Amino acid sequence: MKFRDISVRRKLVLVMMLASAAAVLLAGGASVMLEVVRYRQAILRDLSTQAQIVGANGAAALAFGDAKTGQEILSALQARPEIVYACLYTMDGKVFAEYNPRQAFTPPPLGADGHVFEAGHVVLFRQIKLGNDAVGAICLRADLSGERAEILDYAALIAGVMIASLAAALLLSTKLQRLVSEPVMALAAVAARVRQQQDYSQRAEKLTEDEIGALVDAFNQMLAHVQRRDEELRASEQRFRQLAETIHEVFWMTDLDKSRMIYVSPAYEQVWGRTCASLYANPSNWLEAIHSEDRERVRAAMEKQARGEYDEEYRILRPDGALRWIRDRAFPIRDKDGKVYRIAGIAEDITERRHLERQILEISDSEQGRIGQDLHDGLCQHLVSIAFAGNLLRQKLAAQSSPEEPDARHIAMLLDDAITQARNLARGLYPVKLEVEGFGSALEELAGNISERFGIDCRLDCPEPVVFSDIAVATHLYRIVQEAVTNAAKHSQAAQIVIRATTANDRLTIAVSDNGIGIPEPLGNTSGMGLHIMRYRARMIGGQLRIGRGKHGGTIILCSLHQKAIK
Amino acid sequence: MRWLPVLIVSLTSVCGVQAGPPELLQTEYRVKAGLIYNFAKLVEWPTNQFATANSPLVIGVLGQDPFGPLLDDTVKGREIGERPIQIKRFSGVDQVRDCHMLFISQSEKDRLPADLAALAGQSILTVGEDGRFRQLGGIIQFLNRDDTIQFAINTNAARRASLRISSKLLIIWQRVAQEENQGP
Repeated sequence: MKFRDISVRRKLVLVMMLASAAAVLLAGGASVMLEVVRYRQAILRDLSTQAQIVGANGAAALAFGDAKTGQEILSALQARPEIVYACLYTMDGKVFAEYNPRQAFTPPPLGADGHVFEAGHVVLFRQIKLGNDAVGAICLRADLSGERAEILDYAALIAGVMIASLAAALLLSTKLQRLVSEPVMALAAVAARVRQQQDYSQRAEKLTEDEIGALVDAFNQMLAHVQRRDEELRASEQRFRQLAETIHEVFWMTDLDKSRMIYVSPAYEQVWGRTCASLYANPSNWLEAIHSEDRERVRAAMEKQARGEYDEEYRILRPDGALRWIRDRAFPIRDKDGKVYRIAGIAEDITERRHLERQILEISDSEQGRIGQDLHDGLCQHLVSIAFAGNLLRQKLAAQSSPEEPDARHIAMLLDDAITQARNLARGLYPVKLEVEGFGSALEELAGNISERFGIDCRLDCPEPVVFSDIAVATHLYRIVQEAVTNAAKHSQAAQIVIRATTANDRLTIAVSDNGIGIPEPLGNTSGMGLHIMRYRARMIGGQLRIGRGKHGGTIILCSLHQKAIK
Repeated sequence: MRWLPVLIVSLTSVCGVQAGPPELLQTEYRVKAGLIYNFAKLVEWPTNQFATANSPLVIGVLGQDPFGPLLDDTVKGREIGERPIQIKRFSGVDQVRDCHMLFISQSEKDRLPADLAALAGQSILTVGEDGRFRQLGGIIQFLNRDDTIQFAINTNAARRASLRISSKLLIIWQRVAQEENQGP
C-alpha cells in the first residue's frame, strides 16, 4: 500500500514519528560530528605537541647522525599507547630512526608538515630544527580507535534517545492525531453515508473552527444545496408526471431528426393501443399506425414541425381494429442559441369530439329542415289562404266601387310579399330541391335566390351533373356553398358571384368566387362562426376547405373532396 | 664502519655540501667543521660574552689551520639564533681575544698545556684533537675511532668556563662514552 493511500490517522502518526525521528537523527548526527571534530582536534593538538617534544629531543641526534639516540628518544612514546608508530627522517627523506612496537607499519614516505586522516589513523609530519637549521622530520601515527569507541558510545546514546523519543512520539501522536483525524473521519463517515443512502438531509457535525471546520461548513452547504435541488427536481418531476400522466392527451418529445423518441406520456398506450416501449424502440411506430389514406399527408407535413406549423388531423388504426381520429400538433424547442434541437407535441383523440360535432350539425340541420318544412307547409299555406281571402275581399269591394278597394289591393300585395319571403326563408332552411331535384338544381335555385334578394349577378357553372348517393354529404356541401355565397353577397360588395363545380383526378371541387373587395387577411378572428362551421362540414365529409384571395382580386373559397365520398 | 657514513649523511644534510669521492683528510675536516657548527648550536655562553643580542659568535682557529676553506664554507651565511658566525685565525694564544669557541690545531701540540692554561677561566669552548686534550683542561675532544669521528666532553672544564652544554649533546656523548667503556 502506498503511503498516500493509508488512512489519515496512520498518516498523521507516521508523519509525527518520522518528524521526531528525523529531528533526533539530525541532532544526534550533528553532535556525533561535533564530537568527532572535537576529538580529532584534541588528538591533533596532542600529537602536534608530542611531535614538537620528540622532535626537539631528536634534533641533536639527527644533527650528529646518532640513530641509536634517536631510537631511544622515540621509544619514550611507549607512555602513549595511542601512538602506534613514529619515525625520524633525515633531510633527504631517509628513515633515520623508527618506533614500531607492533611491527605493524612501514614508514610512510616523508610528507610536508601537516596531518592526514586515513582508515582509523591519523598521520602527522613535522619538520625538526636544530637552531635555525632544519635537520630532519618526524612522523607520528596515532590510532583513532578511541574515537570509534567514543562514536559508538554516542551512537548508542542517540539510539537510546531515539527509541525513547519515538516511543514518546508514538504515545503523543496517537493521542494528538485525533485532533486532526477525528473531524476528518467524522466528515468522511457522513460523506460515505450520504453516498450510500443517497440521503442529502444528513449534515456533518462541526467539531473545530479550523480549515476542517470550514470544510464541514462548505460540505453542509453543498449538501443543503443538493438537497434543495433534489427536492425541487423531484417535485418538478412529480408535477410533470402528474400533468403528463393524468391528461388524456399524448405528450411527446423527439429530437430534431425524429430518430429518437425522448418522451411519450402513458396516454399513448390508451390512444394508440400500443405500448410506450414499442414507440421508444421504434420512433416511427406511431406513424405506421396511421390510416393508409392519411399517412403520406402526415409524413409530408412533418417537415412543418420544426417551424411550429404542424397541425394535422388523421386517423389511426388500433391493433384492436378500432379507428380513431387524432389531432396532432408540434412545437419546436430551441436551445440557448435559438437553434431548434427538439420537437415537442401533443396528440389528442378527437374521435368523440368529431362525433359530437357531426351530431350537433345533424341536429341543427334536421331542426332547420323541420322549421323550414313547418314554415313551408304551415305558415306559407296559411298565408296563401289569407291572400286568397284578401283577393276575394278586394274583388267584392271593386264590384261595389267601394273607396276601400285600393286598401284591400295593398293588403293583398303585402301578403304576396310575405308569402314570397316566407317561402324563401323556408327554402333557405330546407332546400327542398336538394332532395327532390338534386344538387345542381338546388344550387341553381340558390343562385337565383341570391340574385333576386341582393341584386347581384350570381350564376352557377356546372358543366357535368353531380350526383350524390349520400344526401348527408350533399347537404353539407350545399350548406358550405350557401354560406360562402351568402357571405360574398353580404360582405364583399361584389357585382358578380360564380359557383363552379368541376371534377378532375377523382376529386370534386366546388369553387365560389367573387369580384369584390376580398376577404381580410389573415383570416383568424375575423372569420367568424360561419367559416368554422364551413370547416367542420368539409371535414365531416372528408373534404378540404381552402379560403383565399383570387388571382384577380376578390375572394375564392374552394371545397374539394374525393369522388369516393360522393358515391 | 657504521658511524662514518651516518655522520657524513648528517653532515651533508646539515651543510648541504655534496661530498663526492673525497680525499680522506678533506672528508675528515669537512665532518669536523660540521660538528663544530653543531656544537655552537648546543652550547650557551654567558650573555656578557656578547656586546649586543646580535653580536657575532666568533669561532677561532689557533695554530696552523687544517680546514682550509672548509670551516668558512660550512658557516657561511649561517646564524646561531640571531648571531652571525665569524671565523678568526690566531697564531698564538696571546692573540686570542673576543672569541667564543676555539679550535686548537695539532700544530700547537707542544704548546697545548700552556695554551689551555692560558685560556682557563675564560668562557671559551675549546675544541681539540690531541689525545691529552681533555686531561689538559680542554672541553671537547674529537676522537678518531676506526673510520668514524666521535667526540668527548669534559663537563667540569665546561662548567669552569661558565658554559652550559645542552643535555642533547651530553646524551649523545654519554652514549658514545658508554660504547667506549663497553668496548668494541
